Amino acid sequence: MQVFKLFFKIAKSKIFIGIVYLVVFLAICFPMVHSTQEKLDFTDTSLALYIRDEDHSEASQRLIETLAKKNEIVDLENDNTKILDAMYYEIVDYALVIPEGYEDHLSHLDDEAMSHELFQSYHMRDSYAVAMMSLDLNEYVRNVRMKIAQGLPLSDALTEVEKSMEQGVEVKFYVSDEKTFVDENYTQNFAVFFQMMPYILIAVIVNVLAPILLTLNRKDPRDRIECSRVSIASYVRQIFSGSAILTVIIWLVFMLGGMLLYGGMYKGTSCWMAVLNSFIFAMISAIFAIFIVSFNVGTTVVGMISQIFGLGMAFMCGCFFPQSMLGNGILTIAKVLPAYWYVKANDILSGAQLGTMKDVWMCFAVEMGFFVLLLIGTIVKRSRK
Amino acid sequence: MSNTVVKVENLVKKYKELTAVDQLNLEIKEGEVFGLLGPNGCGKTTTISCILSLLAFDEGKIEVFGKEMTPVSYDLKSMIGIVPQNMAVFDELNVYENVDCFCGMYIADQATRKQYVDEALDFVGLNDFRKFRPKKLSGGLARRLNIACGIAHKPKLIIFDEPTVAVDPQSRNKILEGIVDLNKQGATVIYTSHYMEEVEQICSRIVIMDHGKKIAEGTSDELKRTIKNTETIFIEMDEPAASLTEKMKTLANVSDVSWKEGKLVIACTGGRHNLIDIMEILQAEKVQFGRVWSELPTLNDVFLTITGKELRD
Amino acid sequence: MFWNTMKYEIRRNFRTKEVIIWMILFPVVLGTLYKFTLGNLGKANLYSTVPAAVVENEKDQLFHWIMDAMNNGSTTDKTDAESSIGGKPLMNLTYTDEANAIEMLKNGEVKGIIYIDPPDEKSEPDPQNQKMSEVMDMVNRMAADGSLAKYIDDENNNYVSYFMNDSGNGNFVSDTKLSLTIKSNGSDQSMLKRMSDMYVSMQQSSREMVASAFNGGAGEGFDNISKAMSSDVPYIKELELTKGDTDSFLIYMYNLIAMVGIFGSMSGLTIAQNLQANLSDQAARRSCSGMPKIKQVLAELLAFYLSHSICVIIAVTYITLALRVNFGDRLPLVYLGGILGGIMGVSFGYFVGAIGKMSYGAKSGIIMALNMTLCFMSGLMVPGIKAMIIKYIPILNEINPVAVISDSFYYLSVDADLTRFWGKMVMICIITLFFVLFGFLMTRRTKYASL
Repeated sequence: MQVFKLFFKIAKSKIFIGIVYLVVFLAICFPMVHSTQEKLDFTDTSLALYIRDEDHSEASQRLIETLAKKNEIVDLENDNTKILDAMYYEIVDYALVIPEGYEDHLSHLDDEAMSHELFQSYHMRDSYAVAMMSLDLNEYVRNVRMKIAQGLPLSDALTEVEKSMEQGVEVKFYVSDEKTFVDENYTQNFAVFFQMMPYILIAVIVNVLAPILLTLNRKDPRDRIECSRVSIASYVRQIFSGSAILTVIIWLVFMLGGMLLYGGMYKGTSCWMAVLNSFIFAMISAIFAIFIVSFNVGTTVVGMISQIFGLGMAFMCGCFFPQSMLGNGILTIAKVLPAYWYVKANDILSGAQLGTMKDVWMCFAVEMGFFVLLLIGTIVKRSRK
Repeated sequence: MSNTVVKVENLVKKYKELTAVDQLNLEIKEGEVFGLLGPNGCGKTTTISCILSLLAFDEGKIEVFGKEMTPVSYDLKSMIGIVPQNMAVFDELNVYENVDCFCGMYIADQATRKQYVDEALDFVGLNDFRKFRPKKLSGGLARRLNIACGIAHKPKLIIFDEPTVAVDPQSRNKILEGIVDLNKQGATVIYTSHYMEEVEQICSRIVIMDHGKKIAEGTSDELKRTIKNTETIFIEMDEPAASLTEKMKTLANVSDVSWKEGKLVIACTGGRHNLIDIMEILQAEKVQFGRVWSELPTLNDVFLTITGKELRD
Repeated sequence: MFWNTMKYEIRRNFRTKEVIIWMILFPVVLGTLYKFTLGNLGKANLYSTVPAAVVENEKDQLFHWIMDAMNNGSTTDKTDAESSIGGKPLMNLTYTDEANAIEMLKNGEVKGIIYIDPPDEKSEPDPQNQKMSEVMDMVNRMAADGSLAKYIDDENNNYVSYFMNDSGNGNFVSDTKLSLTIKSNGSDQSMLKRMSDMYVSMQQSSREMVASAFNGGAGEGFDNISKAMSSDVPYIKELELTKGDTDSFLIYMYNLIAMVGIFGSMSGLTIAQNLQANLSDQAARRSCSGMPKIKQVLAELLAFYLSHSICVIIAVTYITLALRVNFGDRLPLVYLGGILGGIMGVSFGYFVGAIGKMSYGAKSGIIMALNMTLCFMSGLMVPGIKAMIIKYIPILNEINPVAVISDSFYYLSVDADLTRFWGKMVMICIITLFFVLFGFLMTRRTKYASL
């Protein structure tokens, strides 16, 4: 038990670092989980619009009001760089300028007026926002002109169009008759918390565990321990059990943090399966830490390795974005990384990907495979000394 | 006349509950090899760190070369060389580079520095190991490197903080000789150790510390004179009868007689040699005995007498 | 004294190979990964043709005609905003039966199913259809007086040519009811909804046009309605905001270079270890030397600035040359920004190292956590976070060292003039100065409580 006790004696001195990590990452998780709201009915994509009205006419005012019904109007300074930044960071999806003469051109159907452009937009990317707004504006103008052509005065034409725009085709949701994991106890919204978990677990567990193991691994104390009554097998056993217990403690703290986000005890099979999933990954992170340490690197280097692997894997395996957004080539490569299977299982559980409970267990099995691989790697590396 | 190099007045340093240095007064004169002797943890290194203005202390005043020592007393610091207890060299630099690196923090002129570094390496006998990294050096050689880094800039005051810990006897002698040489070249030396033999061998004046307090001060001889025993006579023999020891105790100048581990230990106070009288008693009592020898008192005896415990536990 | 100390510090840095190697390796590895993982992701918000299935339970010729006209954007040489976005057709329709359509929806082959059904029974039959013969009369009249010719000449699939081609079928404006079935919400689905709505509205307009044809014949009214309906003049003029590259994927690369910069803090932290007597024996020895602390600090800082700059230069070179992140002729300024960022990173580490009396290990953990927080707030992991911070707490983005560096690259890439870039450079210098100054003030006269 000596090594075991020593382990936790050193661990005690790392508590502070551990707490810093936990707080930072929980703080990171909170906005993440809340920023992705889920919608159950059909909801039209609401765009963030910047509109600059240079016409100051009834027509322009009413257009803005019409657009504001479906979208959010963002107020910005009339400054190109401000608009540029807002569009680049997607604070604004579409920047529209209603130039002077809009009402005049809109309400006349002569060739001169018809050939005149009615709007200007600041273009950055060929985004969905551009497609949607192009359709909406063209549709609006077409309808207004139709009414005017039929002899209605502008004001009435606008009223008619505004009325007609409230109608639209009916949208139904397709509900599969197959059994999927759409579980109201484990929504895709909350699943984001677990989706980001691999990065967090690797960063925290490696950065807390590795320095402890490095301390124990330092040549002098290690030689001393190896010369002592403690047998190598017992030494290794104690190190492993120490690491395991510490890992479980860290993992538990995250699960408690998750409950804070969840708003109480986890409910439902899917949710508990996700908890199990994260537990398996926590163990993979721990064995990964032990594996790195067996290469005898410094604390700084451990920090960097954990970043490369943690960040790299998180990006490749879809911890920060849905896997569906990643290319097929990347996903093929990602299959050799444990986080891919972790995220896949999590997606099935939350209903983001199709799959059965059997597929989830399959993913767990693959994750365990990585655990075993790293374990073997560690043993091979250590026994070579 | 000799100037005061270091003056410590009423120094108090506490670590939370523990008082590491307690009302310590020291005065070290120019040209001395000043020994600070005491068991591990008695406050030697703490005192040194306070003198060097590394540690904050609670009370007292420290002057070096007649000026108050502060963290920014660079003029004073540049006259001091320090050989710390631990290996304070860079593993990434080789022997020459290490000495040059630290010497460079005192000596700006390149040519002078090169000469100084060469001299220092010569002095500690590391010339053949110039290109070695510290990790490749044996314990003794590494210690010598540690010393070279501290003395290369020819400081007026050199502080050795237990420089011989974990050093083989050969290197130790080399180091001690070196310290005497440095002193002869004009440096004032402060030498801390818990090895009384070393202190006895090289120090012109000694302060003995225990529990942060100064318990004795003086030259080696002065210190020994403070204790009653000037000589101890040992006689290998079986446990004697009580009457025999009583008889011996009546002899003039014998202060104590006891039997320990197969030998009779007779403590004698100054003055005449009692050996013949003792022999006569043994002869008369027809006691069988083996070897007979006598020992002069050591600083350990001084320490033992004052504190009631051995210097090295 | 100064140069000698610096020289040995640089030597030591480069002999501590593992740190240098990883410092270079990590931007190279992550940059490559980003390039191949996220290269596509930048295009995630770009429009891509929406695949949809159409189930015709009722034949609707007009639907075919309008949708074909709309979705063959490539057949017209104009870049008509209405028929294509960025050269991509708006929709890709598959006409099929219901079972197949549902299968396709399930597999994700289509984003939605458009059902064309007969009208609800309660709705009245369209009177226009019953007046077919009158319409035919009208068309004939137009043909006779020559006014039809100008519509026929019009090559832009307008409605009149539709009349001409399909009027014979007798059901050119069918009375149908559209509905849409989707599996989940999203931009694609919103587009489908819009296009379905648009069709319904055009269907309505067509009826009105026909109605007006009955009322006013081929007069000015019909003319105008037809013009209003078929006008394909681009209503929207696109204004350019920047000539720079605005691919949102680049934000990752900017942040990656910024991350290399801020990781200098891990090297910077070793300055504390090298100079603070309570952190190492070597530092204790140095503290006893006659070299003024300020000189020691500056020598150390300069040495670390230099060695970290080399890591930054390698990272920038790799990202710009090997990964082809194009900064045009502003490449030297990218190096400048990166190097200054690295200098700020090293200073940041020095600053944190100077705070408090914690052990090196504890400080190193804190630095790592701080680095990741700053990177996170700058949008390294999730770019939306940066947008949120700019929106709600803009000051945080102004002083976050990582954001300052990454923003400077963004400005380099999109701004026509360099005012904002130099502003960021000044900011970097101010932050650096702050770190160095306060770091120094905290350690200058320190005596330690324990060693």
